[in-house]
Amino acid sequence: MTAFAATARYELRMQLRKPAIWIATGLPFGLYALFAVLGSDSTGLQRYRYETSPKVWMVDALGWFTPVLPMVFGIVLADRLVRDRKLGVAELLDATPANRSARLVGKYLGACAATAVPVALVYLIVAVAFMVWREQPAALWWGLATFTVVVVPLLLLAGSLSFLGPQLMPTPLFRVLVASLFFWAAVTEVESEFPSFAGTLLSLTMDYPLGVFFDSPNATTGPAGVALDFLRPQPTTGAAVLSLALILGLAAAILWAAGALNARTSE
Amino acid sequence: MRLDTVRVSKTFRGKVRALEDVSLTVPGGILGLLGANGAGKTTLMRLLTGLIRPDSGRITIGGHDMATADGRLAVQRVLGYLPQDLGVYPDLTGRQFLDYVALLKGLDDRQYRRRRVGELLELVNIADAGDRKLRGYSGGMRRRVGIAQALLNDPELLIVDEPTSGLDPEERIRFRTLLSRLAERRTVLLSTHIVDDVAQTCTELAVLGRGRLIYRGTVGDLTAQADGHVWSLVTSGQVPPVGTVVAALPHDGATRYRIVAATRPAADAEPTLEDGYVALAQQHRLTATETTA
Repeated sequence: MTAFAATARYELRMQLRKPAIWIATGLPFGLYALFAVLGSDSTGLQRYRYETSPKVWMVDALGWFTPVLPMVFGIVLADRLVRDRKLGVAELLDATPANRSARLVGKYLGACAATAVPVALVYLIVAVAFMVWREQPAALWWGLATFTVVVVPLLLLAGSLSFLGPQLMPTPLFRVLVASLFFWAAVTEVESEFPSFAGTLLSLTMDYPLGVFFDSPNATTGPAGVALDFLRPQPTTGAAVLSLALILGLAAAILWAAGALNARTSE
Repeated sequence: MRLDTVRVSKTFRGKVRALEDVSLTVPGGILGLLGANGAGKTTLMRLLTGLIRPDSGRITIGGHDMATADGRLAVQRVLGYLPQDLGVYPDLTGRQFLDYVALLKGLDDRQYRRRRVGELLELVNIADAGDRKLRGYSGGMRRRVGIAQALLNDPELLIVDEPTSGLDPEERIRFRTLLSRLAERRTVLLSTHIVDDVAQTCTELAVLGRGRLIYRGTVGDLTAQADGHVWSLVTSGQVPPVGTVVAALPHDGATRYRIVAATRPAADAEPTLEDGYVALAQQHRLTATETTA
């Protein structure tokens, strides 16, 4: 077994045992489920009460819960890399012949995969509930598609930030900052007074993939006549793919920087 | 496996000179590395494991140049390393932790890996606790896990940094015996500030002081450095203000002091390795107060 697979496997195992990943996902989902069942006006979830389309349910109704996820990811993944040094394990592992980059990527993907498990369960529960409620098995497919196209890229981005940030600042401060970053991304709009990436290819609410692949009415895409419009092309498949590639590329670049910084710190 | 360092120096950020012109050869067998805290022992260990690079000088181990990535990798494949500040993952069991390290050391065969982990848990006497989470292990038990992980790949070069700290007396003796046995067919570098560990396991030793190599030779020769410098004195009054008190024992309502000093304050005593080390430290004006028997 390679260093990558060994690290991913054990990181997955350790992260899955962390109560925080279950609590941090379970709490917002509990609130979401409560509002969805009660159909409260204030949440806007009421309008989905009589909805029969599995796509609308899995993409837009569940989409009310999705913006919380990157904050959860950032918070629960923040200690994964720096804890090796805090625990005193790093020196031991660095002295093995295992390739450092392979270990880093294994750790990253293992931790991200474990963090995705509670969210995947939420998507599965909602999809099965809808499937039973409306007799629409396609909910499973739409759940899988949304999870892959929207949740996974956000998880990978939040994960890479969590590998870099705590090396530059104390972990609690990073947790506050990463939650603030994704909160800012979720609440600011295209014509906001605050500087914002809303509605751009780099939108941290995945506007282009949501708009182009899932026809989500909640997604904002296309030129808006405001700053950064060069990042708001017409909503085409190419633009949505480019948006995904940019988010994943950004995650890869941040992870590379985290690895380089970690190697330097070891010296 | 032969180990050579040639004029190795290392300075850390903040301009802390940790090692200066250290040239050391270990042809094989076991070598004790003594020195007070801060003498540079851990820095030397970390250089030898490839964790850090020297600012100047050259390190070759088994013919592999540690300045190259290939050289470091070749050495790490045959290396067993127990760091001074060993950490473990508290959420894994002892067995799982060893399995993880074994995988990173390239023990890919599952059956062999399981057997090896089991053997080593037996060897370090924690087989019964192998399936308990490391969170619940005492400091000594964690140390034993550390010893076990260092031996997973049956290393040709074993580098152990303060291996017996935290072990109870029985375990210390057991581990020292194990080290001596292991040294029969490999190179073992035992870094410690516990003189007794070196006295009981090594015939050859090196002493570091303030980043410099101040002694390289046999245990017997270092002990002989204290010939005529060790004194025994029983008093209930003041201790003579000369030399270094290496032992103080209650004795018939008074205290029996063992003193290492260049001038004679009392009757002669037979020198030990610790006395030799203290005499050497005095010659080099080093602080030896942190050294324990």
